[in-house]
Amino acid sequence: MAETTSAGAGGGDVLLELRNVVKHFPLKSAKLFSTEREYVHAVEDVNLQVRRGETLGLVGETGCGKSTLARCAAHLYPVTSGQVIFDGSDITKFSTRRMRPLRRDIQIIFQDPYGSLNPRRRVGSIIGDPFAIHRIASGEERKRKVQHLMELVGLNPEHYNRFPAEFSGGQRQRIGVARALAFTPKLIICDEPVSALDVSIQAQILNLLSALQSELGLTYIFIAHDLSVVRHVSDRVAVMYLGKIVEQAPVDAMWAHPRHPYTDALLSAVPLPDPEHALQRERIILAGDVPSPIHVPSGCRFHPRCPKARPTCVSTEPELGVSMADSADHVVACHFPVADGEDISQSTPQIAEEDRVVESGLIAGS
Amino acid sequence: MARFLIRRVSQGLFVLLLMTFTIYAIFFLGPGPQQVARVLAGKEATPAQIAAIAAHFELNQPWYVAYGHFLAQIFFHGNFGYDYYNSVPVTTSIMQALPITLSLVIGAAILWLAIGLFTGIVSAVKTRSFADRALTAQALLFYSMPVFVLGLLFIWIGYSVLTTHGVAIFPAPGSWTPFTTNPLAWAHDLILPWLTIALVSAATYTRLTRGAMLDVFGEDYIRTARSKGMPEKRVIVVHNLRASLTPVVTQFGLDVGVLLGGAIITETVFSLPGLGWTAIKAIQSQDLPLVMGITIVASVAVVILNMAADIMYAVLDPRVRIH
Amino acid sequence: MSFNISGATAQVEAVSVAEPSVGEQQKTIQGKSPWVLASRRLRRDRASMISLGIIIFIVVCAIAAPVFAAITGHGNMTQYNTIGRTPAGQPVGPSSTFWLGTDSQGRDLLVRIMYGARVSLFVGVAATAVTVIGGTILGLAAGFFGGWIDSVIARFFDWLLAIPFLLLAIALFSVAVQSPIFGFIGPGLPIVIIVLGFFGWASVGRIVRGQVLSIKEKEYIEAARALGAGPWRIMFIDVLPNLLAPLIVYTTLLIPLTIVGAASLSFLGVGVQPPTADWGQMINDASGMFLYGSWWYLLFPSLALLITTLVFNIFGDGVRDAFDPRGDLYV
Repeated sequence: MAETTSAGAGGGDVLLELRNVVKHFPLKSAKLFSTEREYVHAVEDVNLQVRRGETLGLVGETGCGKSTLARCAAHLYPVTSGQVIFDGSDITKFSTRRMRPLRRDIQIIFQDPYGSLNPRRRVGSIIGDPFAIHRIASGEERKRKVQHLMELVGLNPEHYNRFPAEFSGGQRQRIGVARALAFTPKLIICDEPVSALDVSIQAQILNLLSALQSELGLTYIFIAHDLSVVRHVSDRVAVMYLGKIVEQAPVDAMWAHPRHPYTDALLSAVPLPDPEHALQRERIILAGDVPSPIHVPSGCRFHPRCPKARPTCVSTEPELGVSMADSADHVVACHFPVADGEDISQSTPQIAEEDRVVESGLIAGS
Repeated sequence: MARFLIRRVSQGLFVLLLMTFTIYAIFFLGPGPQQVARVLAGKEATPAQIAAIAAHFELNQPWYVAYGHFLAQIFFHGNFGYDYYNSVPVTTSIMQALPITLSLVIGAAILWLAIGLFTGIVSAVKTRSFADRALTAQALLFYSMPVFVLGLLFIWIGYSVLTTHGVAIFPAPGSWTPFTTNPLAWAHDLILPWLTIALVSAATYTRLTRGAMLDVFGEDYIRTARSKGMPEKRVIVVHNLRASLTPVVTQFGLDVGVLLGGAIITETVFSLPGLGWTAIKAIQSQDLPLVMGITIVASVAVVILNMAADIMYAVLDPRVRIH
Repeated sequence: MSFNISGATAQVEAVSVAEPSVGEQQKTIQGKSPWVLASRRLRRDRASMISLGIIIFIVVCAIAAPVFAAITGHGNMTQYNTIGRTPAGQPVGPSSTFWLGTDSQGRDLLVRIMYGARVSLFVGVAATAVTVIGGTILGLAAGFFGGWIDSVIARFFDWLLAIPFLLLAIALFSVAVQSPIFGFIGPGLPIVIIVLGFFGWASVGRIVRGQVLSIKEKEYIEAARALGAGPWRIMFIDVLPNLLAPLIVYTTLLIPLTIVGAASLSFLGVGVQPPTADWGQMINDASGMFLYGSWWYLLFPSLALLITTLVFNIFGDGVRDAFDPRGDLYV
């Protein structure tokens, strides 16, 4: 995998790099006395770069591993193998003590506006937590800083002493943003920050994040499963499926020339505002469900559901690489990428029946 | 399911081991071995008897040998030692007292479950009605009533007052007729003791059932059932009760120990010579082998019943099995 | 001991806040903390307030017992063998001298009942404190640290729950009479408090552990870790405040159970020893007598015990409802 340092949109140098990151969760053994261990293959051999100042969108269905990846990047989970290189240093090896000052530089905004704030603490205390933890400011000074942050995200600083329950969902998300901003981190990982909000509020929060990015020079990893949102905010996008990155490209290139059949299918499902255009388009409907990450399919993980599957797909895992005549920063992991204008809803898979459509696995020992 | 059973049973055995060791430790490990023998022999023991006890319990061996011996004696030979105070083997005393306690406990348990569930269901179904308020208040009252107070009140009013006024419905405390002799008399003798335990314990179950059923009534699947036109009685019995039973079963498992305590007190109040009454008398006369024997029997019973309750729970709620 | 408690979390009424308008007052607005809301709800519950009043009355009686004894001139232990007993040696009934009559030793029953309140309240509070503090520490450790600590503590709880409480208390007592346990725990008040307190650890511990486990999964804990907070800070600042409400509810409901437990032990003769005045013990003494007509000796201590337990239960129910008005979260 080439280590490209080419400047993309908003691009500076590489701020965060994930190299061959693997994260497996061991499952309690299904059999009573067996020594075999089963694993949830949440993240498998992921290579990713995030450039300073950009917004990298990370897209995928529920369970594809994007949240796990985010937490590995923030060193909240220890990685099973691989490296996470932040600002030049491999943080996977860092002890808790060494990691602490870095926590001011990597922050997370969580998905659930109701669960991510402690209901028993006042909002001022929650937002002031970073200052308290890192012993930066206290008393009046801390209060001033907190109120400044509240203003920055559009909250009334007089509500310093209120409890989270007294705020609406959108406002609570703002509180989460304020908390993440305390030290103006270099990288903010937004884990589906608007998925739990009403559509009109989503727009407000997205605009807020965008404004903050220009004002403070922030770098975002923006995780979502809603493609329209991702398109709106991202400079570059990576698509994940079952723990692997299947395609990565600048956002316009990906929408114009999706190369991976999965990406193509996802994009075809995005509702279009223009009814005529929508009618004309062929929906690509994938068969079956996402397989269980415990028993992943061989070769290309997508082959059971892929309309274009060939025997090669069952046997060999494709590597991320440039295909067709794309630019260097549009990579895809597919043996038979989708060409421009190709309509894969017309394709038929050419592999044996038993390799098609694996049943979605049950959770434990099936 | 089999995996769950194996796990649960081995857990139970482990706890049993811990418990027998605790009991052993309390009686044998505190004072030194000489003291123990003397204490066990009772106040009027001769040196010969003391020596005999020391030998019997292998007290001059290291404690783990003595403990092993102790366990073996109980579980393989059923020999709990000798009650020097009454001059009978402990096992005999226990076997004499056991049927009384069993009659008391089983009868009371059935009664209390029936009362508790019934009142709880009525309360839940007719929420906020007069019946509900009355039953809830009554539950609160009995929940706050210590068992011995209720027992004494029953004796006072049910026996003493009524009898002196010529209405002898209830027998004198202390009456006991074995079931095999005359079932009707057996039940008649036990009514007041049963009610004493049952009313106090049922109160907990009334509140529990009522709460659980009200929770379930709020669930969506009940609403669905009703909208399908299911008759209310079926909704209550088939859907609600099944779901509400799990907290009741759990509570019952936890309550086995309580049941035992209630039995001890009730036996004392009504002078019924069951295991509890025997244990109290044994303490008063410092008859340690007997106390020890009864404690072990009771502990074993508690462990087994707890296991049974857990297994029942797993049967009722399949989620528990997939651990 | 049977602990039938539903766990509680605060159900804070969500008050929607309007977006800030231009020209707001400059002072910071105080939020309505869950405690304020709960106490407000409690104050509106008439049954609980009446019960609280009675509880206060009982506490006052307990504290003022010596004063009352001085006023009437009847001591706690003073036996009035002439005026306090019938010619046959039986207790005398309620009269203008002895408002509630006398007991088997000719002592003023009312005074003894007031002194008995001291014992009951003290044991109730002390044993409950032992239970809650010990159980919370164990539950926190088990839930928070997990791993082998959790396994060990869980086994400990299993063992504790498997022991038939009353029997073991009796067994311990019988041994303690011979030779004090650990050299200083003899029969009487200390052993009652310790035994009652210790046996409650399992129930409290399990509930606390369960709560801690479910709190640990919450995103705000993850957020605290992401900010760099260490485990101790998380435990005290994020976890513990969420435990306080259920703990308070549990404590208020535990006190009456402890009081009854202590009285039961005394009734059986393995608790507080004579001549200390204790309700359970008085009832035990009376149980041999009332068949011969001294009904007051049985009735009044029984009433005292019943009423005390009842009002604590009503108040405890009120506290629980104040924190958890929707009645959800069965633990």
